[in-house]
Amino acid sequence: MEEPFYPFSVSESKLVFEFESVSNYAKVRKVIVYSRMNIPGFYNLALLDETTNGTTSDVTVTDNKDMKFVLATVYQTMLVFLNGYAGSRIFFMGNTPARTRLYRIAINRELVKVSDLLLVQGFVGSIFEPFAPNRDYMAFLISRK
Amino acid sequence: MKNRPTVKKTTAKAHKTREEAVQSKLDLANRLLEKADFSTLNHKLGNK
Repeated sequence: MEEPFYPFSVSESKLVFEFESVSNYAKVRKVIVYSRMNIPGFYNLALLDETTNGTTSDVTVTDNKDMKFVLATVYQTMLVFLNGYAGSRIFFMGNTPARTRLYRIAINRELVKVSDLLLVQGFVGSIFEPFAPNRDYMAFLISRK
Repeated sequence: MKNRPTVKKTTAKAHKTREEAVQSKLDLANRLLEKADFSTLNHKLGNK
């Protein structure tokens, strides 16, 4: 993926990434946190907007018109994370079905371009399957091929 | 009147600390995978 992305900082643990989403509309501080899940090898990706007073909001729609840049940045953090935690899988979902659908559209548009590098799977019902466009997933799973 | 199933409503809290927000997303993800069929994963899990 050659898309431009926002510069980001990364914690020593390679689990926390921060960057600023900047557009003509607003400047929003974004935080990405990878957290170990109950399933060995699974890490949950949380993408949060952080306000100036340090609280986060995961229910607002930033709508900063820079989804492509944000996703490209998320993708870059995935590569850094997966380099540090080889063999791990990244699990993520939206906090609402609408947000998850938005992620699906974004994955369909952008992440499939890197399908030679990353394996994208969708989670639906109780099963994982290769990501298919136009299929409603509850969550997504990403790993290195 | 029929007994309706109990639906646990969670009220979205717009502003949380980072830790609260991360934990809440993590809990949700862990719950979702409780009944996952891991045999449908198409390659081995990592060791970490």
